[in-house]
Amino acid sequence: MTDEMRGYTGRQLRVELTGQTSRVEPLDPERVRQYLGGTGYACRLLYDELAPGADPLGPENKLVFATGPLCSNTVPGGGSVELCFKSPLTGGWGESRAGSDFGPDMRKAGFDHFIIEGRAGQPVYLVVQDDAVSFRPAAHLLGLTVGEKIALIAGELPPPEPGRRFTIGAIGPAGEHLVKYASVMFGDRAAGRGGAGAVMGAKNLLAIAVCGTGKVEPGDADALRAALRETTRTLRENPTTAAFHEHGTMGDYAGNDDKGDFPTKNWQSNAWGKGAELFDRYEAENFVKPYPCYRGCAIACARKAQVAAGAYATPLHGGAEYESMACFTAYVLNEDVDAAVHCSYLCNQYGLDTISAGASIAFAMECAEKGLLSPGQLDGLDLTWGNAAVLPVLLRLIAHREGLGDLLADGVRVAARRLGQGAEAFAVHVKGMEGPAHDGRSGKALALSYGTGNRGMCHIHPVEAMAWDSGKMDWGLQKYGLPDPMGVQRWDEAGKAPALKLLQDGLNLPELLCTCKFFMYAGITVDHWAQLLSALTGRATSGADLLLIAERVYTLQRLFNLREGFTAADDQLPERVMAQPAFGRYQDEPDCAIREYGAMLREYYLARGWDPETGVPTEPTLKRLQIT
Amino acid sequence: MITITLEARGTLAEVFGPETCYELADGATLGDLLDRIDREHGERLAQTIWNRRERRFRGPVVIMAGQRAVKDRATPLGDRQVVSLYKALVGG
Repeated sequence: MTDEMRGYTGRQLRVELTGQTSRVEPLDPERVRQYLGGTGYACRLLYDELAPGADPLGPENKLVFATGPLCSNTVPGGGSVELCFKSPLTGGWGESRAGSDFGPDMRKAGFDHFIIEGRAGQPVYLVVQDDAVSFRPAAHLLGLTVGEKIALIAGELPPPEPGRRFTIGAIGPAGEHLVKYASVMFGDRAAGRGGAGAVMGAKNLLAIAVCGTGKVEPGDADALRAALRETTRTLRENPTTAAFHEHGTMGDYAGNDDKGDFPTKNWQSNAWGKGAELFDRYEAENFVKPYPCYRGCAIACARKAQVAAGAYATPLHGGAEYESMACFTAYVLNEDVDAAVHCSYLCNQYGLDTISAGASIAFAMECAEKGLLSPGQLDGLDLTWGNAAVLPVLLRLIAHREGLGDLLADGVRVAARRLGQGAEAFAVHVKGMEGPAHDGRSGKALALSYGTGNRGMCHIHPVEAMAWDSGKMDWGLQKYGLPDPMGVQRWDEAGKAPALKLLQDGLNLPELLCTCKFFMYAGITVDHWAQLLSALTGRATSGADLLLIAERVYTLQRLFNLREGFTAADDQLPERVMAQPAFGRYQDEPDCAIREYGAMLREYYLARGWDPETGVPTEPTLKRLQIT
Repeated sequence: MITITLEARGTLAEVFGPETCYELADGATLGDLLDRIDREHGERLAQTIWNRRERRFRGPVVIMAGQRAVKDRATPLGDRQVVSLYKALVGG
């Protein structure tokens, strides 16, 4: 181990599926210095190695399982893994995170990254046990759900020693059928967005199992212990830690409805008025207990939920998180909470992204209402708004690409193009990624973040925009220039862009370091991350250094998209999400509508040092960021 | 009688004001304070963060007393105690 690789394993595993070979490579030290790890390192790797125009579902695409220097069961939020790829859903930059032991176990096996290339001739699953890499036939797993696959593989891979077991990531039927928003599941936790499951399915790779016995040595063990004590104290004293543990992501379900952050009826409104009632029902009847999504998590915000009996009886499982529940209730106007919990479970078993699945169904419901779907396409399905019974049926059809499900399996952008007749007006997406369950009409920074997000209209990187604008959080970023949120009016538009740039960079750091963003909501700041990283690597790194790296990564992801043919036109928002709500609490509130989006976008490009008209990073900016 | 200072932080300060003093009977508990909150603010809060039927906060509102989170209605309150309300932002 060289000094410059302290805090890393220093190795990456390159797997070539076509010939079923693998080789161990050293990490690129310059790439580590400039991009750290996680989505940063992987973005540079994919930018360098993928040819522009590569087919996302062809053997030429690469799927990177990336970890970062803070990926560890002992670091707050360190149970993370990032999947990076060219997205079949958007055609651009794809990344998706899951909370799991998979990332830490990769590092215990001695690898910071797995780089998956080519396409296996027959279905296989990959086993990595320390340095031993093997390819196992997987035809017997075809068609099985995620849970069935993982159980069978676990049975085929006995624990190498007592107390040690394999951690498994698998796709479901949706990935096998190349649904463009298929997820990769790590037990009940999903790398959901963007279609990593389809990329894996296209490679005939049904699962990966990993187990290791190694340990990554810190550069300065004493400093690391001190940094961990400090972060632990911060977490213990921050009230959000207790709130997240007790209520999880569902905690703000009712509050989001109240503040107009709750896309309803395919974004026809931003508020429903039923959030409190449904939340109480969920807490009383479905929620069972919190649990940690990886060993050692200090927050443990994940939910165990069930439907005890009835038409939607569902076993105890990890799921029913906010985005899933909102997409299967308000988004489709469904008031049956049991049905929504059931749909969340089904998505996990089919290996489907709950957000894109719910959004695609809402799109279909609106198209049916407007008469854009023929009787043949509907095939007897009742797509009336709020019809809970049709939701599980549609999920099965989507996952297996049957009937109407085949149309919806490519996402709303493609479905709308195929339908024509003005269906594009009901397709809520940016860059091809369906809108999640937060609404930019609750605060304008969120709207701008949706438009400029590198992976599209995602729920992760916009969250901080909402949390600053209307949630009044600052994550310790005021010292780096973030305006005090208490002085910000959520419906103002001018002046939001420079703040958004800083928010996107600062709150993108967990993806580079491979930690969980939620810890930043519980008091962990950029400076805490810098302290931990400095101790792990033995090299002094400041918060300002980290923000510069995050900006570099954000810009490189932008370059990745531009190289694939994206333009400023792809930063536009759908009319539907900018319009004054058609009904609900804010229907008579004109200020919540987005009025001057073009001006916001221009202000944003300038804040990033990009051309104000084209959104292309300028030469001085690339030079400042040392992007070559 | 005892005096309790209720601090509200973040977005809750817009509802309760940053600091409010309540006089409660000797031996008052957290439940008594929540009942008072229900009488004074319950109707307004009901649709968002307040469960009127059970007279408790709904969702991620944390009550801090003596630097620890409390939720048991039987938690005793002392004279001149500071109780903080904090609306955590959770979700994803």
